[in-house]
Amino acid sequence: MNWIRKNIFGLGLLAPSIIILFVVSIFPMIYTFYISFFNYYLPRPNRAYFIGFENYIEILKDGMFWLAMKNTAIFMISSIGLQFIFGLGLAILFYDEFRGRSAKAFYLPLILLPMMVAPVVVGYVFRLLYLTEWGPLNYLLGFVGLGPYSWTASASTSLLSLVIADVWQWTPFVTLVLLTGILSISSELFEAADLDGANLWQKVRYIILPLITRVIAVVVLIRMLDSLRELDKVYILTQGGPGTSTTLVTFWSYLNGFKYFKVGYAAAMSIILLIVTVILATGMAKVLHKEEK
Amino acid sequence: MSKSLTSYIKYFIIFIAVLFFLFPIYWMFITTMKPQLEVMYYPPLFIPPEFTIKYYIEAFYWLGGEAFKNSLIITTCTTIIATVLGCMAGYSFARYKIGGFHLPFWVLSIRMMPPVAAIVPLFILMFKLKLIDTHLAIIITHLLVTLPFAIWMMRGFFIDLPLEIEEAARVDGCSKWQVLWRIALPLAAPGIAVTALFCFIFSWNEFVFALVLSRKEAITLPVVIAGTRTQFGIHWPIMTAMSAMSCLPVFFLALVAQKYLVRGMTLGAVK
Repeated sequence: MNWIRKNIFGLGLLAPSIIILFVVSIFPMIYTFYISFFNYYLPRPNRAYFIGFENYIEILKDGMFWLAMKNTAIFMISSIGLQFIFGLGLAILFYDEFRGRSAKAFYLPLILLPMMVAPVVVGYVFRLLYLTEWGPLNYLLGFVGLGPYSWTASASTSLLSLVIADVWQWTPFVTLVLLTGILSISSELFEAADLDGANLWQKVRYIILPLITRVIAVVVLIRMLDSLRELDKVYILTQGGPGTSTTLVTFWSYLNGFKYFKVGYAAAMSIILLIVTVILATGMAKVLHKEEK
Repeated sequence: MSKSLTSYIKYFIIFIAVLFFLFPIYWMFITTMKPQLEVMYYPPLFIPPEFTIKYYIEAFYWLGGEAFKNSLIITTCTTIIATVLGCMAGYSFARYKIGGFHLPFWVLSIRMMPPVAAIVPLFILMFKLKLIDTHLAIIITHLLVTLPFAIWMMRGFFIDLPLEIEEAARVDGCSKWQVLWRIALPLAAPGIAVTALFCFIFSWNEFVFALVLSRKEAITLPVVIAGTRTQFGIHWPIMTAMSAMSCLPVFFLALVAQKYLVRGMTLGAVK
């Protein structure tokens, strides 16, 4: 009671936000959890009936769910892997560039533009680039004797098409975060390494990588959480197809909810997805909490 | 000799990277100037055949203008509400340490939640309140994306402010409210601007909630862009013109705020 009186001002400032977040997030989540135990068909809400864990059991038995998980995992690992490799490479190049210079190069803001583009727009622009007969990508690949590929229209390349669009959009972000991490390393370390005649690879291996582990952990976690939410680009670029080749878990859950109207089933899938999110977010909290101390 | 060779290689790689990141955006802009038939042209045209804003005008009259207006209303309201509440809650977290680290992080984690986990209940709720296809419904759901972000960002900015100034003001007899209003907020002004910019970008680009909750009256720009496919095949010039309309305000804001992009994009995780 005393604590409340002492902090009444702080609590007052906090209250409106907490109320809004409760309405838009906690309430829906509890409700999602609740209807995940029901057989709930959206057009006939009054006929919903309790079925216990059946939705969950059905999902875990459903091959399509595991396929969507597999697609999500492949998408996540390949796009984050590529973003990390390109991002680290570019960050090191840019670092070399910025050392001892206060004015940042003009091209840095330019490469940040992709992550500002709405994912829906990214999806369409890549459809345009991927056009089999008239697209510039196949045209350019033709010069080096590759293709033509049908990109999003073929099951063997559709997931790759999605990965390329994601790598295009998010590599700048990874680059930027890693660059900030590298720039925060004390320059004395690099000077000492220069005196000892260390080459670039040795500097990367023994100075940069060990000192930015935490930054790497944060950026990989943020990207993993984002990949689990990925829906917009799939919706525009491939609609989960051809067949099921690009059906990610979020998209499969969305389809069940808003196309097949199996709301209880979709809810149970969201809860499973939420559990994975919570595990990853807890990891991130640990990293951040250490940083703040 | 070898020094200059490596620096040439370095610049060449940077050049290729910049090209890679800008080419799709360039392609979008030049497609807005190609007549429909020339989009389907081989070899593809890398330089627009004519400079015209014809398709922007067509896009504007074909739902684009309406959607632009809706997006602007929704995004502006969302940004203002999220920033004001974000300042209040962020200040409370930073100065009064309510909930320690874990309550603020819990707030932040709401932003990481997959939208599909909340969308069905929100749809049912909005349906029962007869709010489907209203600006209000979309604004409320956009707060789910922007408010946690604004709170976390502002918390970081307030933590960075020196405590001494505020303590001195307290000693001089300012009330807690005056300290916040007259001292902390002006000092955090750059942070507030950046937070507002990012709330704007998130709300402006958001797609899934707007798709599920709008029909006709409250339809936003990303939803209209997504819908160009189902209307009459894809009319590429109009579609890209609409995409460009969606990109331009955000590009402008991003270039203004580029110094703070990292902090905004990483939720303040890396300074």
